[in-house]
Amino acid sequence: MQSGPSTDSEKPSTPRIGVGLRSAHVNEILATQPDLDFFELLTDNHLNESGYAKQQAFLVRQDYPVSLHSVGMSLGGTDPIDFVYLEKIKALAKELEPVCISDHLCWTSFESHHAHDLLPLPYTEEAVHHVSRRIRQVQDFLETTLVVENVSSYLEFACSTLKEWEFLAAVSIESGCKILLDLNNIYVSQYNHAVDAQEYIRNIPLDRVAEIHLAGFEHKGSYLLDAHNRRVSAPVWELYRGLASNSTSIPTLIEWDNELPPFSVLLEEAEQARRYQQSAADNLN
Amino acid sequence: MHQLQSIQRQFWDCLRNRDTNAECLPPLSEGGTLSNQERLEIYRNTMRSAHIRALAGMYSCSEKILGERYFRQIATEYYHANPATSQDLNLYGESFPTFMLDWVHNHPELVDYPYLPDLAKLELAIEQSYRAKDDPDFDFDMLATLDEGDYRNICFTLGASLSILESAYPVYEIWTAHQEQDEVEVIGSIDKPQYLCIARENFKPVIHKVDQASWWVMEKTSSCHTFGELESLAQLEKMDIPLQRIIPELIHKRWICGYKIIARHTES
Repeated sequence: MQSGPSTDSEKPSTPRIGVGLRSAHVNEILATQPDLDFFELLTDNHLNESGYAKQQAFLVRQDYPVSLHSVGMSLGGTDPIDFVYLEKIKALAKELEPVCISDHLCWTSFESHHAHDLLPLPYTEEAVHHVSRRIRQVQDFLETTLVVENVSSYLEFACSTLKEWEFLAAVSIESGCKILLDLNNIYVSQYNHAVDAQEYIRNIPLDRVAEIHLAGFEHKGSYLLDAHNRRVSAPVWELYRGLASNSTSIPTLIEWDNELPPFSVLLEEAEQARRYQQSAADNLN
Repeated sequence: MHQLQSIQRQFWDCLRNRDTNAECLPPLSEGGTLSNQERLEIYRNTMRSAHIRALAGMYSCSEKILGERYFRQIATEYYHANPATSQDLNLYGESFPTFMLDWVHNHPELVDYPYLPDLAKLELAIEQSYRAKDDPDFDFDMLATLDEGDYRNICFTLGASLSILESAYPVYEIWTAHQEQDEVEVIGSIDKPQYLCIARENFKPVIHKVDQASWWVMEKTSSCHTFGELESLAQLEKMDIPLQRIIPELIHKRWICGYKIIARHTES
């Protein structure tokens, strides 16, 4: 199993673009075989299921590489690591052979109750060591390098001593995990509590970024909600264009989880990403 | 980990306790235009909405009957009383039918809707059927080789996607009517219980009305009564249970998907 969608020795000559796999789109995907390089499965929707959803996932896998993206590892949590949950992920990964396994830099449970939301961490040295230790345990168990995503946030804890990007980079270096850089999440956090998105991206070691996520937010007036129910916004495309111009092609995923549009809309978004990547590659050459 | 755990405990308690304001939060940094209360409400709303959305997905027929607003009110109370215990949100809401039973009992405005708890049970069974494991192939050849004496000790296994439901209300008709049309004709009450079996066929849960005898066999089989015990229980309960017809039918429908031999020891 690869440690991520690309490694230094395996960088593709063309950028890899994918979209999130949703059951409403599967029949169309199987029938039309769209020009995409991979699909991302929401791992938690496939762990206990059999029947139709499982069949769909395997049919898509026959034609495309897939990645597994979960929300339940609670990498920043203080409950014991849930190895029963990880065992299910490991079994699924054995069957699907994903290009990578990813989760989030956050916590999602407390005393065995689950939030089903990505809860914020304080950016402290203690948290860096704690989270890194847990990520290493998870990586050892899954026998792969994890890819860990930055989350959108609506607050920061006063006890934080690091900037978020410092925290993310430190965890990646200490644990050995790769980074899934969600540009929409960075932009949402910028709006919600004055994070400097450009400074954020500038300070992320790009050689540790295995994948980029692009998604849409919902404008709530006084704040942005990371709702994953809209097209990628113009400012986020701008961040992506800037990142693409500074890096070799990092695999990019279009994420759309709620109020699903027709599949053609996701394809349009994917094509836009591909154009930006191609343009950046052409400029570098 | 001490400070991190303390922060997470404080944050968690604050998220889950709707009666507290932002003073319950760990100290936050300044920055941006939102107040601390607004920040807290964003997380509370997101968490609550995810759970309510999951419930509305699972109990969509109940939501249609109750209306989006009233269903949301009930779902919110359920959410506060029942934090999720699994990473899989698709599994959230297993105890909602029991919650509905208590709710209907305690809310006189629902006196004309006594069927709602059973309807919720049906919707739960449909969801669980969809998500159940695939069944192994039934080894008919092995069954044919068993001694006659072993038949009495057979405990049949019901399909993983199979559920049975008994209701004093026409929940099958109520559920079906709300799948197909916005205008629902009046459905009359029934004078004897309705027996339903929900099983997955071609990846899709299907609801079947069954006779009482078949329901009885499946109900006893799910408690792992052997074939011999089924015969004895039928006599004891004075039930007319044509096992010789029902068992092959259930196997043919793949509602029985396996068996095991259980030797029960009797005291002399």
